[in-house]
Order: sequence, then C-alpha cells, then structure tokens
Amino acid sequence: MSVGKVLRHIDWWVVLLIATISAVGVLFVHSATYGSELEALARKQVLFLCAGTVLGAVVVFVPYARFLRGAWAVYVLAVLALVGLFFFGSVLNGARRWYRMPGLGFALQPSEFAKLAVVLALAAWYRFRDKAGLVEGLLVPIGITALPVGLVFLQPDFGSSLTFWPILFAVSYAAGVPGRRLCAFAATGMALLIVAWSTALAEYQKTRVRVWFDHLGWDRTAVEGDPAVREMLLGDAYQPWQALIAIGSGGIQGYGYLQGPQSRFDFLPYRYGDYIFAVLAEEVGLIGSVGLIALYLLLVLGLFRIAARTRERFGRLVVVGVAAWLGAQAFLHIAVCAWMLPATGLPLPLVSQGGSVTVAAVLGLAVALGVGARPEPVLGADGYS
Amino acid sequence: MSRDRIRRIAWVFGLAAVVLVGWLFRLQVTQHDFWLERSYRNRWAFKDVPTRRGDIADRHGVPLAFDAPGFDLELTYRTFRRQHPVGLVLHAASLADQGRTGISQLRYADARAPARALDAILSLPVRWLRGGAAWPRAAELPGYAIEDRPGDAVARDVRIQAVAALASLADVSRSRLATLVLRAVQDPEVDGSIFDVARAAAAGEPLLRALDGDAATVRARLDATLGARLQDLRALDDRLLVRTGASADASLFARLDEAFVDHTVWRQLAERSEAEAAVLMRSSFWRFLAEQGRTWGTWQEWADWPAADRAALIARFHEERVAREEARAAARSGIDLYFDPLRGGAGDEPLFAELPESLELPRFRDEERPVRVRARIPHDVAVWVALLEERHPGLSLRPAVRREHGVLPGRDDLASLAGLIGSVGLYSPEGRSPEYDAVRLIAGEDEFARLDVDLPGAFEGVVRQSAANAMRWHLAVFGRLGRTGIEAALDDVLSGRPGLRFVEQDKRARETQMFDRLDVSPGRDVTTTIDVRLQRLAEEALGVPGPDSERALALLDPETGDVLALVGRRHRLGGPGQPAEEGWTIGAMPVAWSPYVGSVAKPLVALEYLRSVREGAADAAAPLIDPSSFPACEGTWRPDEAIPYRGRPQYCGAAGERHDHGADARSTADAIAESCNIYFFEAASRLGPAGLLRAYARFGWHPGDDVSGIADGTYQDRLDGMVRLYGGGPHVEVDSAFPVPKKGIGYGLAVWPVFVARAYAGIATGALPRLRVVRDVPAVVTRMPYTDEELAVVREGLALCVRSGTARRQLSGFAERLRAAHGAVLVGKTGTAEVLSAARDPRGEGLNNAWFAGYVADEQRPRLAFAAVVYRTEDSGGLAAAPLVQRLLEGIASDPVLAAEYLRGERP
Repeated sequence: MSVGKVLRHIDWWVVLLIATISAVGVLFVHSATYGSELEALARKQVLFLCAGTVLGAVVVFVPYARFLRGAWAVYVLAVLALVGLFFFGSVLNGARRWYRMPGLGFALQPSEFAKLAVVLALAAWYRFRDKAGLVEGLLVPIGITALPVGLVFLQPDFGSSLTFWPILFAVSYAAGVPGRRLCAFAATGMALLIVAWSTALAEYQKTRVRVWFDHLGWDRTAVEGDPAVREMLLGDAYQPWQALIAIGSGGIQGYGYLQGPQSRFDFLPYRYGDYIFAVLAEEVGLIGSVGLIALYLLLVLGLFRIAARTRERFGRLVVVGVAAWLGAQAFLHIAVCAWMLPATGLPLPLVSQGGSVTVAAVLGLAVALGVGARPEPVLGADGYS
Repeated sequence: MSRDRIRRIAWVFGLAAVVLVGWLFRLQVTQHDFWLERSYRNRWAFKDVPTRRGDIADRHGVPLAFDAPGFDLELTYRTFRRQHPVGLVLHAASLADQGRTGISQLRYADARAPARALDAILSLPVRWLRGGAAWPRAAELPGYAIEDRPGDAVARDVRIQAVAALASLADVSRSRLATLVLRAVQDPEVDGSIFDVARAAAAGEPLLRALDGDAATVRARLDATLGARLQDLRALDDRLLVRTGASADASLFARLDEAFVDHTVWRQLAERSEAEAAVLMRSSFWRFLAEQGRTWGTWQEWADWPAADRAALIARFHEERVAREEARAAARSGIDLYFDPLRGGAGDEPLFAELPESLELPRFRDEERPVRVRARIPHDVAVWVALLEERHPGLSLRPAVRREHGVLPGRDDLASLAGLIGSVGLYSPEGRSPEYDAVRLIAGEDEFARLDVDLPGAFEGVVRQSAANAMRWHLAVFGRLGRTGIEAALDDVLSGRPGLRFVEQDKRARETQMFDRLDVSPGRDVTTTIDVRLQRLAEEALGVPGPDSERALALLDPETGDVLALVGRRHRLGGPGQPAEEGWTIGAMPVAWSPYVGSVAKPLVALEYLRSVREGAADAAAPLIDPSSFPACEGTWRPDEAIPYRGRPQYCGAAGERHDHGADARSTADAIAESCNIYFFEAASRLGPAGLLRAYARFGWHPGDDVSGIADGTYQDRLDGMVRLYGGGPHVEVDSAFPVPKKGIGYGLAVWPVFVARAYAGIATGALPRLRVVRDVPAVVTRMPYTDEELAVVREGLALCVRSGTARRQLSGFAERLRAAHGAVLVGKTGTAEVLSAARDPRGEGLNNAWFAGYVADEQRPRLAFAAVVYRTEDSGGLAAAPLVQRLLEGIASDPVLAAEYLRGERP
C-alpha cells in the first residue's frame, strides 16, 4: 500500500483527538511543574511526544501483517524485559520498574510497552479462534495476560498491572468469548483477590485499600474532629485527599490555567504524573474535566469505529485492544484521582509526563491507525463471518 | 455479531464516562463548597504574633516587673519514641518484653537500660516475629514460653519498631530494611536473630551498607551511635539540672519515663478494648467528659477508674452522640447519601455566640502534645540544644518569655512589694479559658479576615473561626494572665493583644502573600505610685513579726492619695504539728481576726462632733463637752482610776500622769492627745448612730448606705488603678453589734491600714484623696466639710499626742530631732483596740491591735501620711506601732535624697 493511500485512509479525526489530548497533556504538565525545579518536564514531554510521533509515523506505514508475524516475538521480548527488571532494573521508591538509560536522561518502563505486547499477542492468539473452547478461548489468553501482570505486580506496580485486564476482557469479548464466561472469570478473580488479600498485597497496598474503605464513612465532623482521621489525612490518605481537594475546589470553571493552588503551592504530590487529572480539574473545573473525558471517549469510540470498519480479525482485535488499554487506563486514572478507587500510581496516557507511557501510547495508537488505514482484508480468509 | 460486541464494549466505556462525569459533578458542584474550604484551609494560615506584656515600674521608673525573652525545652514523646534512637530502642525492647511477659521493667532513668534494650532487640528471633498466636497476650497464659509466638499485632509492632531502631542506629534506609526483614519473617525457612537477618539482607545492598559487615564491627557501630546519643541526652540533662538548680525528680529522663509509662498504659488500654481506645481518641468524648466534670491527668488515672464506671460513661456518650446525630439529621434536608462532608456544617452553631467564661474545651493528654521539660533554659544550653536538635528528634526549643521582677527576686526586704505586684501564669483549666478570650478578641475585630474573595456564605465564619482557633492556640501556649496583685488587677491593660497575620502559604509554609493582619497591641506599661526606696525602708521598719502576729504599714502622699509604700508581715502559727507560716500580707491587707482600729478613729469622731456643734445639730445636746460634767470626773485626768460612765467603769489617761482639763475646745485636743475614752463615749453618744456613721463615711470608712450622700466620692472599694483589692474581706466593716459609745472609740470598726492612713491624709489636708497605686489614674480629692478651726483643733490634738500625749514616750524626742533637722513636724494618734481581754486570755494578759497613724508636714504642707499596726500584741499602739513609724522616718531622714523629697518637700 502506498504512502499516499495510507494517508488518504488514515482516520484524521482520531489523529486530531490524539494531537488535542497530547497538547492538553503538555499544557498541564507545564502547569503542574510551573515555577518548580521540575519545570523542564514539560519540554521533556514534548520531546517524548515528538519521539513517539516519529516512531508512530514509521509504525503507521508498516503493513500490520508484520505485527502479526512479530506479535509473539514482541510478547516474549516484553516478558523478558519485565523479568530483567529484577536483575537490572533500578530501584525508585522501593520499586523496580525502570531501566536506566545512561546518557539519555530518562528511564524505560517496560510495563507500558508490555501492554502493547499483550494486545498484539492476544489479537494474534484469537485471530483463528473465534469459536474456541474454554481452554483456548479463555484460559490461555488469561495465561498470556497473567504472565506480564504477575511480573508487573511483583515490581511492585499494582496500578499498571490493573490495566492489562480490561485489554483481556475487551479483546476476548470482541473475539467472541461468551460474556457469561468472562463474567464468571471476573467473579472468580475478585474472589481470589479477596482470598489472597493478606498474602498477595503488600502492607502499603492493604493500607491504601483500608483507607479508601474508611474514607467512605468520613463526614465533616470526622475530618475536623477525629484525631485518627486527621492523622490519616496527613499520612496514608494525604495524596488522594489532596487530589480530592484539587478536583472539588475547581468547581465548574476552575481556578484558571496555572492558578490551581493545590498545584501551585505544592500540596499535591506527583501531580505531573499519577495525579495530572487533578491538576486539570482544579484549573479548568468541571467543564474542562468533562471535556477531557469526552476527548478520551471520542478517541476510544473513534478507535472502536476503526475496529468495526476493519474486516480483518487480527487488525480489528488489535484496535479493540488498544482502545480498551488506553480508555481503561485513562478512566482508571481519573477514578483514582477522584478516589473512586484506592490510590495507586497510574499515568494518564498522552497527558501524564513520562517517556514510556507516552511513547507506548503513541505506538499503540499508531498501530491502530495503521490498521484503520488498511480497511480491506489483507491477510486472507480467517473464518471470520 | 462482532460489530455488536464492539458496540457493547463502546457502551461500557460510554457508561464509565457517564459515571465519571457524575462523580465529578458531585465533587465539583454538589460538594464544591466543602472542598473549596479545604483548599483554602490548606493554604490559608493565621500566623500568630506574640505581644509583649507591659512593664510595671515604680513612681521613678525603677522596673518592678517586665518581660524577658528566652526558650523552653519541650518533649514530644511520640516523635521521640518514633525517631530518636534511644526512644526507638527502648520502645522496641519494651514492646517485645510486653509481648513475652506482659510487663517491661525498662526505664529511661536506668543508665544501663538502653544498652540492655539494644541487646534484647538485636537478639529477637525472626520466628518469634512471625506472630500467629490466637490473641495478643498469649504470653500471659500458663505454660507459655518465650519460644512461643505472640499475637500478630504484637509481632508486627515489635518488628516495625525494631527495624526502625536498627535503621536509625545504622543510618540506613528504613523502608528497605523493613521490606527485607519482612520477607525474612514471612519466609519459614529463615531462622536466626533479627540482627543476623538484617546483616544478611544488607550484603550487597547499597541502601543498607552500614549493616553490611561482620557482626562485631556492625554491633560496635550500633553501640557507638546509641552511646553517643545517650551521652548527648545525659549531658543535656546534667547541664539543665546544674544550671537551673532543679531536683533529680525533674530530670529529662524522669519526664521521659513519665511519658513512657503513660504511653505503655495507653497501649495496654488500646489492646484491652479496641472500642474503648477508639472512643478515647475522639475529641467529642473528651468534651463530653469535661461536661461531666470528669478529667484526669494520665492514662493510668483513666485506667484506674472502675471498669463499670468507664463502660457506663462510654455508653452514655454513645447514646448522646446518636441522639445528637439524629437531631442533626432531622434538621438537615436534601443532603445525599454516602459521603456528605457538609454534615455538621459551620452553620449549626453561632460562631461568636457569648461563651461562658469558664468554658474549657477538652485537651488531649496524648503523646503528640509537646510537654515542657524545663522552662526558660539558660541561653548557652538553648544554643546547644538548637545545634543538636536534628540529632534528637522529639526535643525542641520553644520561644518563651518569662516575667522578671527587676529589683524584687531574692529580696526579702521587698517581699510585700512582690506580693503587691503579683504574679502571672499560663492559662489553666481552673481559670479563664483561652477559647473564651480568643473568640472575644476576634469577635471584637469586625473587619479582620473579611476578604474580598468569592467565598461561599458560611466561609467567612469559618475563616474567622480559624482565626479564633489560631488565637486560642497562641493564648493556650503563650498567653499569660495576671494571677495576683497588680498583675491581675491590671491584666487587661498589661497583657495587650497578640497579633495575627492572615497569609497564603505553600506546603512548606512559605508565605506567598498576606491578606490581612491584626496588629499587635503591646501591653501598656504601668507606672505605680510605689517608691521602691520607701517600700524597702517600710519593709525594714516592719522587721520580723512576733509569733502568731501580723503587722502592716502604709505610706501615702496625703495630697494625691498615691500609695508610696505598702507593707504587711504575717507570722502565724500553723495548726497542731504544723510549721509556722511566714510571709507577707498582700498589699498590707491583713487577714487578722477583729482588725478593729481602736482609738485612731477618735480624731474622725472629734471632727464630726465639732462640726455638729457648729451647725447646732439636734444630736449635739450641748455646745461643747465639759469633762467636769462627767460623773465622778473632777476635771483632771486620773490615770488608773476608773470613772463610772453610764454604769461601767472606764479608765483614762496614761499611767502616772495627770493633766488639767480645759473647759473650751482645747479639751478636745487634749482628749485626742490623751485618748480620753470618756470624752469620745460622750461625743459618740451625742452624735448618735447616724452622726457616728456620718463621721466615718466622710473619711471613706463606711459605704454610706445609712447616710445617703455623705460617702459620695469618699468611699473606695478598691485602690484606684486596681480592679479589686486583694487580701480577702471587706476593707472597712462596721459591726453593728457594738454599742454607739464603743464605736466612738473605734470598736466594731475594721479598717485596713491603707485606709486609716488615707483618713489621716484627709485630716492633714482638709481634703480626702482617693487612693491610687497607678499613676495613670488621675488624682482625685474630695474637700471635707470641716472648717480650718475644727481641723486645727484635731491637728493640735495629734501634735500633742506626739509631743505630750500617748505617743510622747516613744516619739517626742524623735519628733524634735526631725523638726530640728528637716523642719518636718510629726503628728499622729495611737490606738489600742483590745481584741482579747485579759480575762479571756488564758495567759491573763490580753491582746490588742496596736495602731499609730498620722502624718509628717513641713511648714507649708503635709508630706507623708501613714498608718502602722501590729495585730494581736500585748503592747499598746504607742509601744508597738509608733516605733515602726519612727524606724521608717529615721530611714527617710538618714537618706539625703529621700529626706529632701519627702521631708523637706524638695521633690523632683
């Protein structure tokens, strides 16, 4: 397929959404770091976006059949990279999540790329298995997903490990796995999680869950008068509570760009990454928050439209996987910022500052756009009706 | 089919987006006000600015009380046990001890305890730290051995504390060490002590490098660190004990042990009943207890209350809380379901409603509250602590001010003045509450912290409530109240008002802008009327009182009413088996029983009698009293011979002396000089009760209830400049049980010395001054309704009293010398009020209140008015009180400066 043809068929609305969200990201990384010693992060983010765009542009023009052929290799590479973290990864805040890149000024987080690898692997697995049984249709894909999830969980990075599961659910469901089977799996997973509560989760993770449960019962009296609650607000609940303050105080219109006090005055930790949405919600209020959610929803819907238009099964499942990955991660990030879920570190794709998350997201989107630019079946019959 | 599935997945995302938007709507619209308030509370702060308490100086500017800045040493035990190596080690070992045996004998005061504690925690077996016992105090069960496991909670606490201690001593990453030790504890294959495990984990781990090495080296390193910190603490304690002269009971280690024990008891309480611990952590419970009048100082005291009592209190608290919640819920409408931060909003109660002055909000007796180890530590020790503060978490310096007393400390010769000046103290639970004062101060500043910002309606109240809270905190920590004397009486003037700065600040408390400020109002300086030099002479003159007696001396400027010196001495025997109580009476206001003035009242009666005669008042039966008309009186003074008067024998005159009576007004002067009881019985009888009260009311000795209008401007229920008098009891009292004639010679009439001196100032000047101890108060005098002639008669009587009358033997010579040297005339009147007759005295001698009151004048004007009294003495006024005045005046006369100022009228 010629370059011109690809460009002609590419979904420019999705590209526009990606560009818009990325621009919002740069703006709010700048806002979150404005006036601090981390001000350079916004420039870094632009560089990451540029790098992602260049790589993405290459990926878009690569016929995606090659991804099908290389899916397992990418998957194995991702798993090896995750395993390698335990030996060569650098420790930050008690976790081994990164490979330091000497001389490049950044660190590589393999778990972000592993998500794309899982998307490709699941799509490749399901390509010829639309009517597979329990083992091939569900258990093996669970295994494919669980392996990197386990490795990510052990780093430990509970937040990132969560985003793999929506990918599995979406791809499996799109591939034809019965919904009830998936529901049963989800229920079993939840039950196992509860059973494994005391052993699987680290103390700080359990604390986060406990605090989250506790906060559901807090009222003004408790917040102001109960010493135990006040201690929690200064300790384990500090970060989500400050995010809530940022979001809630933003109101309908917000304080205005660069004016959010929670951000300006340094009350919100990790605001350029795991809590970037709180910065945005504080400065542009409900209107901006809904706007960003709408952008993500439109992006996800745009990707689903591409998937729906794609008649070839691998490409379709890849696009569904990418949509589920980015959509779920974005919504989980927002839910964590708004403390609908226990606190966990989860960046907002394309918006949060971070090289790996940005480049991986752009690459994933590039793959999806590449699929969308080639709507005709290019890989031959696959039994797809 | 596949497209349908994709559509369904898209719907799921759409639904998720709707849920998110709904949630955000809830946060950003429904609960916006609450979060906005939180946001403001994050960055808005009220910074308190301490005020300076005004100085108190004598009339010439000699400082009597003033503020001096300094530092207090404080201990925050929670920080100490969580971060200080010594605290960490001892607590870890104590927890382990209690997990094993239920008790711990470790104490900070034991010099070897930290080393023993370190031994104990380093040898803790990791298998023991796995916990798993069915209940935390399994160790108390029969047959339980150390090898057995404690409960999970105890094992976890010990592990966390031990790891923290180890990390702190080795200065390695606490979180990394905690992770590795936890892994070892969770691994059933691992055995050995926690020390072994930590060293094994540290091998090749850069974050734990200090623990990597052979056991002896690492152990030596840990010992050295612990020893160094311990040595620091001991050196600090020694310096404090030596420099501040405190007893060993007040040592830093004693304080640490108190806090340690309190914390231990608290932990046992919390372990015994989670529900009880939870309720004890609620501020509302403390408030509830305070309302019930149940307070205590330590957790042990709470724990010692009967269990049923405690349970009943907690149950009642819960009942009331539920009822309160229900009432609130009933009053609320339209508030949604699960998380409603607006519940119990600021609108529930008026913020600045009138508060009862005694309101005392509950205070947590928890280890988070810094407690003062030593107040006002020496400057060099403070510097030392400041330099080492980072190495000793939990110990901190707090800026403080101390009230210094200039010339007073250690000066026994100014003990009365110290009492008059009084003392200051922090707010205490028994007294006025800082909450009350804080709300009062903020409520009085209508414009403060009212911002031109788009705030929700209730916010303004919240902001101002925060200001009140900041002020309350400041007052509770720094606020000082006058407790006694002038400090208390003039507290409003002296204390001033602390300031507040209403600022915006970032997380690190760096201010970014100031919204508003409440300027500090420094306390006003107060200049008293006291002259320290005279005060000292007066104190010296009073000397040491005899057993079971009191004495006092007041010295005034007769023209202005300035109190120049006010001295009181008390020496009263304690109860059976108790030591004698010595000291001073505050402001020369004695607390003796029956402090009757006796004959010093006679000049007042004489003046009123003469005035009655002049005005032809109906109660003056004859123009003048004729002593020859007295029954059995032959017109001469007959000492030691009883004259029957109205059915009772009366004695007159001094023993061994005879004087001729005159039949004119001169006889009144003689009667004063000789203190003729018969004369004044008769005068009082002629004046009648109303006339007598009029006489006393004109000199401010009676409030004038019965003689309307007479006492206006004369009666003082306090010294001007003071809120009230201290010393107890009314300062004048007329006992109506005494018959009129007896009242005419000062019986049944209790007047404090300073008011007796004031009456003589009135006689000296013809105008009664209001007494004042503060110079800012304007001097006020009330002209008296007596003619110069009448006054001259009485003044002559007072002069005769010194020259040839009842005070002659003690004072005539001295008076002559005074006149010769300084041209000053000393006049006065003795008084001997029998407060215990010889018949009723077991010793058969009787007891008197011995008075001498008068004034010193030069040719132009009176210079000093005085009154001296010795209560409950066997001697007369002339013998006991007059020498006190003589000693005082001798002191003044011998000091050229004072003599010029007070005797010769060469005032600066």
